[in-house]
Amino acid sequence: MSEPTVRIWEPYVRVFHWGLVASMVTAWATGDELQSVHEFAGYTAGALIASRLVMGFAGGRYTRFAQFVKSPRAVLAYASALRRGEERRYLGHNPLGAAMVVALLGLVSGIAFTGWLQTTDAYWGIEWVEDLHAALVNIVIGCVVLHVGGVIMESRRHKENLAAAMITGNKRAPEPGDIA
Amino acid sequence: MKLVLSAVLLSVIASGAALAADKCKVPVGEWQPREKLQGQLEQQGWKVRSIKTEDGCYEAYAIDAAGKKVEAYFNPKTLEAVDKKSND
Repeated sequence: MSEPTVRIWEPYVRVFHWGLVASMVTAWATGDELQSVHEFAGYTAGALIASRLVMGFAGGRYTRFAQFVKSPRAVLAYASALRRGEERRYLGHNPLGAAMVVALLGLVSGIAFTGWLQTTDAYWGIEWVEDLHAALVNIVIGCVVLHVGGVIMESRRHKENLAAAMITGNKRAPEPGDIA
Repeated sequence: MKLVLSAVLLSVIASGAALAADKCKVPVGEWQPREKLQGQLEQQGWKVRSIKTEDGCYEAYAIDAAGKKVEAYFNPKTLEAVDKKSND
């Protein structure tokens, strides 16, 4: 516990992350059952995503998209380094984790949008919208499983608790070879 | 968090089960075709968007004659309305 740490995740990122978790779980638990709660949770998720898009340009160092979003080629390079067990430790999002951030932002936006669409006169009761909403939810559930799996794997490989870091905001200070 | 989640889940189960299921206990053989329900609703001036089955009831999404969005449940044998939610 005496290891030097550095602040990586600013309070906004942590509130966003766990707020999104809470709103997604609530929306998932109330879908088709508690309509008012479901809609509130869905709009909350949508508002959180909108705020994240703004903070991706206006936020702190590790919050900004430019710091962590990498080209598909860089993501693949990181993935193959990971497979060889040679990937470097990133203080911010690693390229693969960053790709997941982008995927989740896009998918949850799509879910919030198709959810809202079903409340409009034009798309009320239109089945393909409902089917798309449900299909995106299934994809997101798969992504969340991958995301948690990735967090566990990287936590083990780099001997740090990444989930705890998303609560405290702090991570072990960079060592030689790490990417800060 | 766990407490909140279990409270939410409990109320979900309670509200879902109590909804309209009891009013739609009809053996599958006695169900009327959904086209008949659709025709009946259209005669009332509804624009039917979709008819599904839920908890043994027919569940229709439609715009009613007054232009309101409705989600209504019908007994599949008698085609009587058993529950209705209307949104503005």
